[in-house]
Amino acid sequence: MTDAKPIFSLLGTTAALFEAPGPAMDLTRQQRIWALAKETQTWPEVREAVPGMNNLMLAFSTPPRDIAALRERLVSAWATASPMVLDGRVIELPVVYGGEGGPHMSDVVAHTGLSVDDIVALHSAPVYPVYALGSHPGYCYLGGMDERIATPRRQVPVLRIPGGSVSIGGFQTGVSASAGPSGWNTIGSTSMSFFDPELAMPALLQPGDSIRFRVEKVIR
Amino acid sequence: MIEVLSTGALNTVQDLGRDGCLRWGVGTAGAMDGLALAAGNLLLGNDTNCAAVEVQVFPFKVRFLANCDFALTGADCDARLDDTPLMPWATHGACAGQILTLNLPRLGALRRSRTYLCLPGGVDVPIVLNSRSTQLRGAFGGVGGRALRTGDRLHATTPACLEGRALGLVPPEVAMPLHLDGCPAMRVLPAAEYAQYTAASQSAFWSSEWKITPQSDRYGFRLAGEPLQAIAPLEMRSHGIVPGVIQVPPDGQPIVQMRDAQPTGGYPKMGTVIEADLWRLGQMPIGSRIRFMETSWEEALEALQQTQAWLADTKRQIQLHHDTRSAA
Amino acid sequence: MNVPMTKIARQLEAWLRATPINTMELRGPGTFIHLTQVTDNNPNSDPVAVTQPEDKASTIVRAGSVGVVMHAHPLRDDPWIQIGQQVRAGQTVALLQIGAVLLPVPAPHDGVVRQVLADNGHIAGYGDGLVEIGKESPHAN
Repeated sequence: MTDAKPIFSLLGTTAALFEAPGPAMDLTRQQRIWALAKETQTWPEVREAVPGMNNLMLAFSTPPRDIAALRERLVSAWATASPMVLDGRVIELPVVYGGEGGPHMSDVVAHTGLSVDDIVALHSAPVYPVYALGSHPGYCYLGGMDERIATPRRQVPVLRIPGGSVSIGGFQTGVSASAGPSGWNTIGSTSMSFFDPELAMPALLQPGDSIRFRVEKVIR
Repeated sequence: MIEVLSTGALNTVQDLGRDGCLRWGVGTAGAMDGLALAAGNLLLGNDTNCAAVEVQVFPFKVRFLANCDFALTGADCDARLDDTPLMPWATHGACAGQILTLNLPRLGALRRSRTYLCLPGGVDVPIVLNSRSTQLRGAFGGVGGRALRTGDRLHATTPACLEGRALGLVPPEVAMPLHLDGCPAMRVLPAAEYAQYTAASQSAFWSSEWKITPQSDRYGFRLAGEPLQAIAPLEMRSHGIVPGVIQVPPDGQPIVQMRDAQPTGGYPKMGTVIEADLWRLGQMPIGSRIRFMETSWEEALEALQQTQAWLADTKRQIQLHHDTRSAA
Repeated sequence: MNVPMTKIARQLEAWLRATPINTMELRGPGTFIHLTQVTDNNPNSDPVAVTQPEDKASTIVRAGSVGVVMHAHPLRDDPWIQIGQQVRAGQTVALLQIGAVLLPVPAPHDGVVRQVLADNGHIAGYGDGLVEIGKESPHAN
C-alpha cells in the first residue's frame, strides 16, 4: 500500500514541516520518521530534527537560500528511509484510576457507555510505544490506545491539571509531565518524574521506549 | 546587584531563547522582543545573548545595592532613577541605594509593551539546557523557573561602571519601520493549511486589521477579527510548531503562538510570522491592531539579514564611540 | 550632504586628539588638509559637550561631535528644553544623532535656558553652539 504524497511546508524561516499522511497513526511509518530524523539531523542547515506524530519538523540553524533544493533532498531521503526499529525500554507507571486524580472518569464513562472497571482494563492492557516528545518538557505522544475508550477533547479546557495526570484526548492517551492546562479527559494519576533539566538526558523517555500503565488502585 | 522592590506577575529573566531541546518537548522561551534585548546588551558591551529582565507588567521597581551601569530598551515606560527621568533606549549609571522605577508604557502610536533591563555581563543566573531563559512550564531556568518576586536579588555577571554618561540608540522601530495602511505590520509566510481556507478568508487574513485581545500573553496572542473558515473541517495530527505560527481554532479567531507556546500543536495553521518580525509583534500591546503582510521566502531571508545587519552596525558604532572616548 | 570644510576639520581634529597620531595630511581634488597635534593640557576633553564661556553670565553648550541635532527623543514629542526653563547640571538639553547612536548633551551647570541656537534636524559640526544657559541660580529672585 502506498501512502499519499508527503507534504512539505514552511514554518516561517524558522523551520520546515514534513508530513507523511496515511489512513491512521502508524508505527511503521513513525519508525521511518525516526530514520528520517536521524538522517536530517546531520544536515548543516538543520539545528534539530524533531519527530511529531507521523511528521517531522526541521528547525533551521541557518535557513537555506535554496529552499526548493532542501525540499527535494528531504523527499528523496524519505523515499529511501527504512523503518528504524529502536531498542527501547518498557517503563511501567503505577496509576491510581478515578478519584481526585481522575476528575473526568465519569465523562469517559458517559461517552463510551463502559464501566469504570472496563475502561481501566482497556486502558491498562496495551504496551504504548512512544512516538515522539512534545507539548511540554518530557511529555510523550503515545500510540496504541484501544478505540473503545476514545473520548473527544473537552469543550472547555481545564486551566491546570497536575503533573502525572493520565488523560484521554480523542483517540490518544498521554501522561502530563508537569502542571499545566489541558483539554483532555483526566482519568487517573501517576507519580513519576518525566523530566529533570539537570541530567545529561533530561527526559525519562524517548522515541522507541514504551509505557505500560499498571493498575495500583481504582477509586470508583 | 539589584533587589526587586515591587513587581507585577510574569516579569521574568530571559535571554534570546533555548535552542536544541525541542526533542524533549522544551520550547524556546526567550525575550518577546529579542532585538531590544540584544541591543540593550550591546549598549553595555555585552554579548547579545546575555540574560536580562523582561518587564511586561508595570510598574516595576528595583533598588541598586551597588554602583552599577544598566541599559533600558524596548517600551518607553517613563523610567526614573530616584526622581530623575531617564532617556529610553540608553545606558545609565546608578549608585548604590538608588531606586529605578519603570512606570507605565507611554501612550500614543508608539506605545509598546515590554521593557528590557540589561546589566553589565548580563543577569547572573545558571545556564540550564543551553540557556538562561525562564521555562515556566516545567519550572526551570531564569530565577528558579518562575516569575520575579519582591525581594529577589539579581547580580550582574561582571559588575562594572563604564565611566561617562548615557549613550543611546535610535530604536529599531524608528530605523526600520513597517506599516501597511498606517497600521503596524508583520510579514507572514503562508503555512500548510492556508490553501484549505476559503478565498474570502484568505483575503480577509491579509486585509483585516487584527486586534490583540486581552487573552494575549507570552504563550500566544489571541486575535479578534473576521472569523476564518476552512473549506472543509480539518483533522490535524500533533506536529512541531515555532513562535510566530498562526493557528486557527474552531471559532476562526487566529492565535499567534509566541515565545512560551508549546513546541507542538494540533490546530490548522494559516501562516507564520517571519522570525525577522517577531520582535515587532512581541511589542504590540493588548488592544492594538496589526496587519499581516504576505511575503516570499527570499524577502523573509532578506528581512532576517536586515535585522542582523542592524545589530552588527549598532555594535560597530557603539564600539567606535567607546574607542573614541576612552582614548581621549 | 554638503558639510563646510571647517566642520570637517574640527571633527578630524577631535578624532586626531583621540589617537597617538601626531600629523595627518589629506589630499583630494582641490583639497589639502594638514593637521598637526599640539600637545596641551586641555582638561576639557569631553567629546560631547565643549563649553566656552561667551560672557560671565551664561554658557554656550556646544557640540563635541558632528551629529544631527534632535530637540526631542525619537520616541517622544516633548522637547528636552524650552526657553526660560530651569535646568540642573547634567540634565539633557540636546541630543546628537550620529548614525545609530544618540549622544545626550548635558547642561554644564544649573541655570536657565536663554536661547536654543541650533534647529531640530540641523547637522551640527564640532563646536557648533546648541544651547545657551544662563548662569543665574534657579532660585535667584
